[in-house]
Amino acid sequence: MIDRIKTVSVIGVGNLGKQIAEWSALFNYNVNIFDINPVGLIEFVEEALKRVKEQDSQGNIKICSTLIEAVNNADLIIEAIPEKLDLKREIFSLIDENAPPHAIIATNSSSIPVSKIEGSVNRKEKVLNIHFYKLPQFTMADIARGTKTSDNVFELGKKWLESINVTPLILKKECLGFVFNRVWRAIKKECLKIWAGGYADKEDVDKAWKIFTGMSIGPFQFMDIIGLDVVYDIEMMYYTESNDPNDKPPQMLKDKVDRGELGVKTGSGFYKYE
Amino acid sequence: MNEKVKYLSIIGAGFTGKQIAAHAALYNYNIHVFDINSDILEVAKKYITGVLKRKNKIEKIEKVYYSTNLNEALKETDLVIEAVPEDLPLKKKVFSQIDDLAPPHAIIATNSSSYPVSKIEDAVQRKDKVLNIHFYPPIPTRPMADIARGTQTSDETFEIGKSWIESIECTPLVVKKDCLGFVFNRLWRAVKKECIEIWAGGFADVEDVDKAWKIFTGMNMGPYTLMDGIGLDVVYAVELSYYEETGDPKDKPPQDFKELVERGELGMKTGKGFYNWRKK
Repeated sequence: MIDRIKTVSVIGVGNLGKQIAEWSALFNYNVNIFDINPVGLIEFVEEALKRVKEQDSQGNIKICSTLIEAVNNADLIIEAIPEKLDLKREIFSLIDENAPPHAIIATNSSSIPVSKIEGSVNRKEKVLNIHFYKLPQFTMADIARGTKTSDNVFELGKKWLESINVTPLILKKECLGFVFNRVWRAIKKECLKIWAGGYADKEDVDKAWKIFTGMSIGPFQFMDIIGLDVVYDIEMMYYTESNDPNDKPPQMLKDKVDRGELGVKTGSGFYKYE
Repeated sequence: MNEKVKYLSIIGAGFTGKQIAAHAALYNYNIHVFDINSDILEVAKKYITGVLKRKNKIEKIEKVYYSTNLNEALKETDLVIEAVPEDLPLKKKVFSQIDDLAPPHAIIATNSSSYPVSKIEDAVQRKDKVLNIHFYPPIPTRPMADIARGTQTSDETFEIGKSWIESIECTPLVVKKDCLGFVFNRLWRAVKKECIEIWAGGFADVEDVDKAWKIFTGMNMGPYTLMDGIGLDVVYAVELSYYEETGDPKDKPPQDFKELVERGELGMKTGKGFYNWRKK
């Protein structure tokens, strides 16, 4: 735990929001959570706190019924709502009005630099991108500044990440994908090209990946888990950004998505699932 | 062991050639190792003998024969793997010599990482018996090999090649259509290219990207460390070959990377590359 941060607030409690909340509690932080749709939160907190206690941690997770309640005593607020710029700006503004003046506001967005959100708050020197990858498997997070973020705030964000055993990946200059998602996207893109071009079977590519890295799954299996609709949307985002025909996702992927073959969640994607 | 293949010839005993020989020797093959340079052959012999000793396969040592005479290395052979430098005219010349000297049934494979055998096959008569079999050294830690046909390679030849790769406990990665990088090097090149761009664009520090890679994959080295190990001159040359193939300006290696290579910052071998390897 670091001195300057005791209470962390997670706004938007989807998959990643839950992971961030539990992981922070595990490292002794008091965590406030808020979601406009609180379905399942009680069960989540019960389960998560059981695991937190098992690790002898003093952390806590508290469900708040309003955003105001969730942020009014927070030192660090992490917004983890859906990837919609307008929505994020609106929530940032609400947080700004209700959080203590010293609190840092961070977005967990995987695609929107905080510089595009900061316009909606007054505390422009206290905003950050803190983008987590899946916890607890991937203990790392991109961290980036807005245009006016102070060094002090950036350092605090970094230290907080280190205090929860998460490696900060510093984004020095804005770009789509931040640090690691850029590399991961290059892998996905090449795999899609190999598959759509008929250069090799996905099974062989996955085998090669597993042999090379020692991981238990390959990129095609990974994409099936993420969901091919999500993979397609992300590819489209890069294509929209660059306008390079080379970035256009293959038609075969679109056809798969249109057929509802979205991966593990629908029972069929690149592979079939029982 | 593969029934159709009992004798193996490795032509070119450099970095990968000697590794293929050492690995295959573990699996009951009789192996002829050829190199035109007797010093290189001597180094290969030491290496292969060392591997067999370490793996407690001393009895296999006498099943590996060394020669600077191509005729001798090809007299009795079922599968020939060419592992000479990546120079197309040289490979064609060597293929033609192998074709003249090896028994008619023998399969000729190239370990090239960049030339499809379809670009070499003209040099031989036995166009139905040629293959790409490309390894990813170190073979024991990356037991896999791309396998690809020429334009006239028979199914039988292809199956023999595949089952030979499996017989030495490597995974065959089938190239279904000619492309630069074959199966895995294509993917690995996409990683390298992205990393070089992140570095050149100043988006993140190499240390952070390597850390992320290690966390994500569980590997003990990230892409920049691996590239520093391979040698940035080699990485640059590979990038150029992709650029030449596509002509796409986006495939052109960044100027900063070119300058790094020109300054002689080639990675571990020169003490500096993406990282500084000199002891502080």
